[in-house]
Amino acid sequence: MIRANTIMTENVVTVNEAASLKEAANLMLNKHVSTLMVAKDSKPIAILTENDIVRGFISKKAGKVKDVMSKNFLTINPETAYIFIIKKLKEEKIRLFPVIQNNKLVGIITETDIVDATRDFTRFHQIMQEAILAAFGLVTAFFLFFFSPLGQSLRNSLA
Amino acid sequence: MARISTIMNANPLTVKKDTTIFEAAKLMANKPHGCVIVIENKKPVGIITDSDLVKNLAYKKINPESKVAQIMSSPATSIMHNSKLENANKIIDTKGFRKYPVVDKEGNLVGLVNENDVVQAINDNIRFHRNLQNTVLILFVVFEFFVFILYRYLINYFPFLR
Repeated sequence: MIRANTIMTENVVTVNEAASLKEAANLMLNKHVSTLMVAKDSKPIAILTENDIVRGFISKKAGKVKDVMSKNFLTINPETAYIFIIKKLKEEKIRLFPVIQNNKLVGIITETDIVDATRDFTRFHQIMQEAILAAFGLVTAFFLFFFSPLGQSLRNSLA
Repeated sequence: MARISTIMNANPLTVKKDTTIFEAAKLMANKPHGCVIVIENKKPVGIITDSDLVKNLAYKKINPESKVAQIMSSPATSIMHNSKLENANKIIDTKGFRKYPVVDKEGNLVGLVNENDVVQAINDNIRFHRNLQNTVLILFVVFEFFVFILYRYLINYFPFLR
């Protein structure tokens, strides 16, 4: 069973809610991330995506992070199953999962993490598929040989 | 076999080349697409993502009243609407972008597909095929077992097996 803590990104870039949108945008560009967590005393209170910043730029008066950040997000714990995350992604189009343990932010799962993990699983599934096929093929070959006249004569000569 | 047209988003956001950056940003705000496609005669010529806007508006201080043609990534790599998921995945692997315009045979824009949709769809397909294959294999081995083990009894009842 794959858990959230194996696929999450542990270095979360956080921003203060009083910071300006320009500072937040610069932070995103410097750290190469697309999402910032807005945290207060290492407790996450909101998320800030690139889309929120774009929204802030078109409404002229919003200049602070707290004007555009979205407090509506779904937190998970490190033990949450991967299947649950995928289900939420597909059914409710949630793309961002902050990972919380004891009220503290320990990581974040973004769309990139999910894509990477899914690619790994796909490769794993393909290898498993080949392995199972090979095993069944060998078993079949053994059966065919063992019960064939040739196998019969070999068994007789050995006995 | 699943094709790109079954998983694509058929309603992409589009702008003309002479639209202002501000207008494009207005279109993208509050939308889950994350990008807007620049079209010319229905053909995609470029793409602007959320991060392009953040970069250009906050960092480079481009005037929001200038045209989208200034900041768009062009040419945009397109995927054919009837291409197989595996082929699309190959394109995505080599290019490394997130979002791709989907075009038909004439090169007209028909949709938008993102990396995650393709990867998830391939994973689902693989899982389905693996389960199907395992079921077939188990049935086959059970059949084999019965035929080989019960052969000596069966030949009493079916003389043609001798």
